[in-house]
Amino acid sequence: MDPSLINILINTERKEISSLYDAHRTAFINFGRKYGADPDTMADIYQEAFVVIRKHAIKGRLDQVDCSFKTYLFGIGKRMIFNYHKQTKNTVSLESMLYITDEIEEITYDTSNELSVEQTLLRTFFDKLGKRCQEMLILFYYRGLTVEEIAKKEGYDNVHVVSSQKSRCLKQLREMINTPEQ
Amino acid sequence: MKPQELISKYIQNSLTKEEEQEFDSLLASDEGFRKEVAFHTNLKKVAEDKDDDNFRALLSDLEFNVKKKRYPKWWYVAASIIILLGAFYFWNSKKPASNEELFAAYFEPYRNIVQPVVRGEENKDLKTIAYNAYENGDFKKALNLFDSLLTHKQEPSVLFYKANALLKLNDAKKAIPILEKNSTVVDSFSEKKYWYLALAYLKDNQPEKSKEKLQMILEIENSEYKKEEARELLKRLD
Repeated sequence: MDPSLINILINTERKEISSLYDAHRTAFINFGRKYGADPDTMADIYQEAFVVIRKHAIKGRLDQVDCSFKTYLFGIGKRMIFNYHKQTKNTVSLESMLYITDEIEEITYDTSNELSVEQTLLRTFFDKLGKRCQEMLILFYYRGLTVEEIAKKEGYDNVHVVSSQKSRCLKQLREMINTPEQ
Repeated sequence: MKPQELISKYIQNSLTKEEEQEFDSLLASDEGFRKEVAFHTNLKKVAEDKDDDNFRALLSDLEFNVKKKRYPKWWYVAASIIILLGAFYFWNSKKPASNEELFAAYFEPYRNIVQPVVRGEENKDLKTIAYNAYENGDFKKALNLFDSLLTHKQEPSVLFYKANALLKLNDAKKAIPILEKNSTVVDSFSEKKYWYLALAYLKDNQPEKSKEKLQMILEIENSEYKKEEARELLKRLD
């Protein structure tokens, strides 16, 4: 896939995401219509499909992919539409849908994203951290940026500032965990 | 290598073959190390979850803008009708719109952006039913179900939607403390809470408080959520 598009997903600049979002929205909704999903549902599915494709971008799963951004996005969407029909037990016949012809191949994605009880608790503490801490931990833990990369991206003077800032954030988090609820 | 460094590299998937062996043997032999690894692994998952939610908030903001653009004609028609009605009203009574009327003009229950499709345990099914009721406009039922969900766990998102249901059911008095209590929690509903709090105060005939919250919306950085409406409403309240 076009690396510049992968970078747009990873960097998540509002402007760039916005134009990408607007570019495919109408086609996506029409695509869903063909499969018996109404526009409101499709708008929700469109957003979730974006969440998934961004996850894949961050995890490096798009680097080796041959198809275009659009085809991949629609592939996720197709899978989501099928799941939606299954879950809502819609009367739309799944079988008849198999005969609709398009070049979109379904893309599978991980649906086990529920947090465990422990993680849910950790998430409530995480939400209480300041914005800077949240961002820093997201960059390090989820996006996998090294301390050097974070320093560059966030405009810190040097890696030591980042390291100590990160330790402070972790300390705050651990303190919340170890303090019993008021 | 220090255990802490090993864990960092493990989290970022950058262990070399030898480091991996070192990591595995520590994992097998050292209880404290295992706990540390579990903590950092959980944190990785939580960071992902949070980042996804932030992204979802951005997307629903974009979606909101698309919808606004998509119906420009309707907006013009609606706006002209409102202006005409307003002029007519003004002409007849020379009295500005009441707080109640302003509330009715601006309030709309926040749409359900909490994942509607969750399956599995009883607990989760209850959630699905609750949000379905909310989406289908059955706010009484939704309110009851939100309440039983909340006895399990005080989830911020459920509280937020409960407040919305209360507002829709004209019970601003009960909605206010819920939104106030949660307004300090920073999450994907932050700016929304101020907006609904402003409306709740309006409904409860406390325009000064309402203005205070609207002002706060205008001060939030990096968000365009309801700023235009907040400015407009502030003008009308003055």
